[in-house]
Amino acid sequence: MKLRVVALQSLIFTVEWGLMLLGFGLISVLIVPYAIFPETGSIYRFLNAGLKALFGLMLSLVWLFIWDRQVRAFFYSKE
Amino acid sequence: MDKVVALLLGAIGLPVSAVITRFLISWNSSHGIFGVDVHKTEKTIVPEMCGAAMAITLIVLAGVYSLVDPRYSLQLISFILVVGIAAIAGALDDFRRLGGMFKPLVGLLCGVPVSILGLMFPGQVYNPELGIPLFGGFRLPIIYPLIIPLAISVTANTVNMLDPLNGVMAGGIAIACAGLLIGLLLTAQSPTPIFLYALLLFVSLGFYIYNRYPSRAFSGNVGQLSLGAALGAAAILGRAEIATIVAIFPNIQNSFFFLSKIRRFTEHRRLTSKPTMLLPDGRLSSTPDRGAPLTLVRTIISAGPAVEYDIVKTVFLLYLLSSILGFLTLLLMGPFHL
Repeated sequence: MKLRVVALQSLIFTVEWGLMLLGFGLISVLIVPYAIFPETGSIYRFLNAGLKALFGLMLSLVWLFIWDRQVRAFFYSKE
Repeated sequence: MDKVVALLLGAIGLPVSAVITRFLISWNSSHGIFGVDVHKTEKTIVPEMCGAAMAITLIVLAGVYSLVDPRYSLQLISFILVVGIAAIAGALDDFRRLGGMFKPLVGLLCGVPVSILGLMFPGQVYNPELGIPLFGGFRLPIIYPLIIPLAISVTANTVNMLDPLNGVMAGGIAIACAGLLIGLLLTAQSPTPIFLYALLLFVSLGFYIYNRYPSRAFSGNVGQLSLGAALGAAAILGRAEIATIVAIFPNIQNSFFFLSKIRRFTEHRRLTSKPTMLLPDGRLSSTPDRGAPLTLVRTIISAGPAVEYDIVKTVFLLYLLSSILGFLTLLLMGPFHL
């Protein structure tokens, strides 16, 4: 059993889990309740939905980037 | 009472899946459907495509449950369609060895029935409100149906990608589903999520009996894709999207690091740089090749070689941790209705 790997991976998973909850919290408190465009027509509803999705996508990329840095730092630093 | 029926019917998945797997081992052997266990020095021949047993069991028992409790028949029909399409695509890939883009595209197709049925019968298939731990949730009426095919493609392919060693896929998904099932028993107000996750857990375990180290049956793409697509469908139909992502963190890490290194959808067998190599003493070692993908198995053995069984145990421990985090995610979401 690779206990060092399990410990480091556990740390990575827990950090990523915490960041995920934080990110969804950010989205639900700061992004979802507000409309960037006035929701007077269907096109604006779609634009608002698209922009919010784009923000969620950007947060996901940041989340994956942090995951990537952690794995490389813990396991592939010699490379 | 509904929850008990759902749980019991899901548990029937274990003997049914095991019996069908046993049958397929004989049938596939007699019809020359074999794979080579490349991580054994003696290169053992093992019956391939036995994971079809999981697809068959998932479809049959979901059909039975839709007859037992017709209130949820639309959800179960969409689940059956997802698993059916994934199984057919997986079988095609097993026989024809299709290109790297085939599986992600077919994964998208698998989710289409859920989106269409959901748009045709609003509120009866899925709920477009994403449950968020600690923060309640928010409605995504426009984005949610568009994301469904993508979500199912991701789960189908990520499960497909993390089956490199004996028993890893079936055992890992069983561990992930066990944590989620316990969480759902405490939080879900409807029996459908309990049935779906119990079914996934026990069907995986039934197959695991023959797939565990040393394997007597290989899953093939037919089993991997259908189990992965079923997991994605269960997450959407059971409103456990975020918890399911958390429970399969090992799969997410494996796929992400594979794609970030290779930068394209491709088959493992077409890789010129393999992530691991088999040593003459039977242990697996990380490759010194810098161009090889940083898979989960390679990460586990990055500090030194290990025997296959030890690596499998390490992967299971990682699944256990992510399953506990998935369970906690469900608890933080609190009780919910479909």
